[in-house]
Amino acid sequence: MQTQPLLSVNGLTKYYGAFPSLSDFSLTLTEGKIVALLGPNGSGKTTLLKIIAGLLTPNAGSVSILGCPPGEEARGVVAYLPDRISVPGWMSSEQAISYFADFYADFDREKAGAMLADLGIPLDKPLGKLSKGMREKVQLSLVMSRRAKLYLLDEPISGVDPAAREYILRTILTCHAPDSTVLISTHLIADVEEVIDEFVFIREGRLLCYDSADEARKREGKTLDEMFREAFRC
Amino acid sequence: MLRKLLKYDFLSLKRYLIPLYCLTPVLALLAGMISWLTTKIRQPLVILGVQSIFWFLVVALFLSVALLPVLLVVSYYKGLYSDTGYLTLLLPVKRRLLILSKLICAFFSLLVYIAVAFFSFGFMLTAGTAAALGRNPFYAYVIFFRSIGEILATAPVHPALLVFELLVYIFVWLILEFSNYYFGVTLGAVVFQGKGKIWGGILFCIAVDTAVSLVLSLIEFAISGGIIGVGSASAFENSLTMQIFLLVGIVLRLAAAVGVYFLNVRMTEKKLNLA
Repeated sequence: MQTQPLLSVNGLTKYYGAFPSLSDFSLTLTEGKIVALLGPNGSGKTTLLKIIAGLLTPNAGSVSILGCPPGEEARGVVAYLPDRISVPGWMSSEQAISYFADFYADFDREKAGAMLADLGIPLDKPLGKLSKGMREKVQLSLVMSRRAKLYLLDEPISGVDPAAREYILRTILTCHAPDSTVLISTHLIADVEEVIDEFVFIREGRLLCYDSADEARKREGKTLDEMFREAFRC
Repeated sequence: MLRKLLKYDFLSLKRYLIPLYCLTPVLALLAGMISWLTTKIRQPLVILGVQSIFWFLVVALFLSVALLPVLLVVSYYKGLYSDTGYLTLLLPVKRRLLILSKLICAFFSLLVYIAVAFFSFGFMLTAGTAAALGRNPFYAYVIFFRSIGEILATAPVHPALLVFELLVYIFVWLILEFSNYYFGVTLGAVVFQGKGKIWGGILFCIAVDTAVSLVLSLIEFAISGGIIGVGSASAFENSLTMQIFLLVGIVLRLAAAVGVYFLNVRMTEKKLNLA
């Protein structure tokens, strides 16, 4: 019997004015994978993640998460980390934890507390008074403390220092459950190279390549970083 | 879920509301004291100086009153269509609850503020006169409520019923106003896709509110002139026409508020593109 895919994207097209950000993009992801979404600036990575999260309406095509369209039900199983700080500055980390615990049934309060303690983030200070890097860490900790089925991470490590980057990647690797999938968009390919199972190359809103990282490396005899540089050479 | 949404909406508004709730009575108190002071001063130059301060405070007081609706609209925009929207719009709750929570929040914030502003303005306007007459500064309220009581006593319906109907009318009108404003902000966010920032939202707020108010006024005018057969002013001279006029006003505004609210929900669900 064929199982239902975790994420199914079919013929997705999105225009910003006359400019197509995504063109007939299709992708199917199964459970238990860490997938890197790779492409140059403006290739449509963020647009794709936003459509899957339900923050953008596509001009054509459809998205299905465990058989549901992006909506109230899907939002309960998708954890999205945007490329900006979304937790308001007036909230303290403690209030942000309560906020997530109040709304998300799959949120693990203890895990979030432990992660913030590991990262040395004060719980009682308003987030607006923390540095940008610290706020990014808080946001990532909150998102990764959910037991979601699908994690959508948009540039999760771009704004943090190398030491924290290592902690975050370890967190991504260890936090996601065996039946959950992480779709991570990043430019820092060398940093994620070791943790990813599959990768997607996207160019001008079109799917260029979707493959297993290990198989591609074995077949091409190159690292993913090298393959990326070759595929997207200016 | 609505209870939780309300909790965080009030928490986010608290940092604006509490200073504003304090600012208005403080400005009124200062203006009232200065007004009282002018009755004790005889030198023309000093009176001029003191009166300048008084009018400065009056302008500041009016600005503080106009600030609340602006703050509520900005807070709505920031909560849903700025970076915080990436948190709020991803919550596993229905969009109609998100908007309803913000409407309820705005309504209660405004009710409290109306009470604060009523007593603040009254104190400011009457403190000087009351002091000159040797009365306490709140004497004007005694006069005010006595006059209201006398007007109500001459009304063609039971005073309690009239007060109840007028309060319902005002409450429904307030709900409609914020339903219009919030729909305007959503419309701005949909049209500008976040590029117009808050100014796009405010522009659409004014446009939507003007359009809805105009349509409602035309319908009311048609009803009062065509069905009841009297103008809106003379409708209040007769018990039956007054009841019909108020009831029509309430029902129309309530229907418009609900209609605009559902349009807002529909647009947030189907058309929104968070930039």
